Amino acid sequence: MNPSREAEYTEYVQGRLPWLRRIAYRLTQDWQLADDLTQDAITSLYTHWNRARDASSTDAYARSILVRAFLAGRRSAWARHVQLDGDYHEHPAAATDHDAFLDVRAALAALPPRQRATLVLRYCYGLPVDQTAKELGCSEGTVKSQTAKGLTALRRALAPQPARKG
Amino acid sequence: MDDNPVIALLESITDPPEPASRVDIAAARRRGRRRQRLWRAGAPALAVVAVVAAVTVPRLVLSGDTERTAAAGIPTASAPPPVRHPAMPAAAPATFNVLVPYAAFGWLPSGYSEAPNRSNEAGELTSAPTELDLFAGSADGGMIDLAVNAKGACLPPATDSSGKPVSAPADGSAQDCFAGATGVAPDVNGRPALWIEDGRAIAWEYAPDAWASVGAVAVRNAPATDKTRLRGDVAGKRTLPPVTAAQRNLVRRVAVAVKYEQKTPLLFSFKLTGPLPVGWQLQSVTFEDIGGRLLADGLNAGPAVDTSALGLSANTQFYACNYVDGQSSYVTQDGVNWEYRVLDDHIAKNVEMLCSTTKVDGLQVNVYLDMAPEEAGAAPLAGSTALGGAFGVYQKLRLLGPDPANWTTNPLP
Repeated sequence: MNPSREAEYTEYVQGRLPWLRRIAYRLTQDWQLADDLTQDAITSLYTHWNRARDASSTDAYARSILVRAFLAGRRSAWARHVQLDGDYHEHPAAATDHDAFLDVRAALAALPPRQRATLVLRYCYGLPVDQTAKELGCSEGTVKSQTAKGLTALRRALAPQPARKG
Repeated sequence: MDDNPVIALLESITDPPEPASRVDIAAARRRGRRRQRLWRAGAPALAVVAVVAAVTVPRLVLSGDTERTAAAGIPTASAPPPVRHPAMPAAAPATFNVLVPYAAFGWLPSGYSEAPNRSNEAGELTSAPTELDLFAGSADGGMIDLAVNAKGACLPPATDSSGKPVSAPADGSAQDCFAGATGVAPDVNGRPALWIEDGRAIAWEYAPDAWASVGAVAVRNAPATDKTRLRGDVAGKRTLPPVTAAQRNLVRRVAVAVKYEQKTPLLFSFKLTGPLPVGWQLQSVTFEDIGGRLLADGLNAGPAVDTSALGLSANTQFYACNYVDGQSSYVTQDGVNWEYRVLDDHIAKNVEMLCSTTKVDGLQVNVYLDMAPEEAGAAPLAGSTALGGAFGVYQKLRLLGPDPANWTTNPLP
């Protein structure tokens, strides 16, 4: 990569790092894993920078790399690199319905990775089905089915549990 | 409960305050560069590595080590010098002298060289305060990668009772130094060692708390569309053949011969005539090994908050400047024709870039200067202002021409 493009890459990543980390956090629900995932993704972004910078949306390209690294990583690589003594301190989000947000987070974290990624892209980032399909590298039909399955799983997880008879 | 309340919750999720980032952009660049080279090694490299591993190594093992001298290039197996393992250092520095690369290959398989070539782009070796990255390639695209880390910069994972690594470094300081550690390897000159990815690479403790690694990985790189290539990369679908015993022997042979505490300085085609701003330091140098001479082709300097705030290069090679509508303009200043580019948008703030559109004193000059630190919202970099912007940097630059005989070992005043 020539010096000019190296500089472009550095500037892009510097500028968009907070945004990429946020996406990674929403996918992993864990800041340590989010940083590992982001590190992995920006390394891949470097290797693809010539294409990324020329893409119609560099942001979409970068996000796609991140999401796919997440899906791939659930099977290997960074997902196994559990950091045992992180300095991270989780802070609760400011929310009007704290319990509901905690519940939906927990339910989201319990979904299979592809369903989770689909819901995050569609509803946390407002992507339409076709764009979600592009970023996940799958068909629109798969996005629709993963969305339906994910929402069903969330709905069940969040539904009030019937009291058990003693 | 229908889907709408669930969707409403998803849409309005807010994240907790984010902790300080551990993400290392410079490391991503280094590792990305390394990965690119390995990709470029391509399918022929598999054959090269396999042949080297299957034929060359056993032959060399039988006939003794071959020792490479800096100026002599790659030895032939027909005249191997006597066995001489390099001395292992008693201690490693916590910070390397960026201007004098700390280590060097001591042995490479026949046909491999650190000199750049069109097949594998083996050039662009990197010297940084805590890491030295060296590459060697063959004309057919094979690649061997040596990374030497300063003391404490890259520590091994914990091991279980059988010696098998069980986790990444606990301090989080060296995230993927040993990401693929898979087991204990035979010692390297009496020092503990680990196999990486079943033997595609080896890592060893060359001095107390100081580790290095050698890999000879070539990835099958069949022609692919952008889409399939991207998908293959991020989905981990690139397939690697099983590691052979001969491959393990090869990386270990390279590791055993690595030379430490080297004294050969880098040579620079330019010199800054004014000081770096207070608090700034030299952060990394990329260089090439041409016939045993270590020729720097660029440096990065900056303060701790932005270690690549200043980028400088003056190369005998010429690259087309990267004109971007809305950011670039052509200007003539100080008698030089420049593409002058300013980045100032939602992604990058206050960055100036200069690229000479013709050679100046036989060199193409690039200057990159960041006026804002990496941390969003922080104050502008005072040092950048003190340098007088990108043109101010150029005015403090003394070019030494295209002949390395006239170059300097210290680019700083």
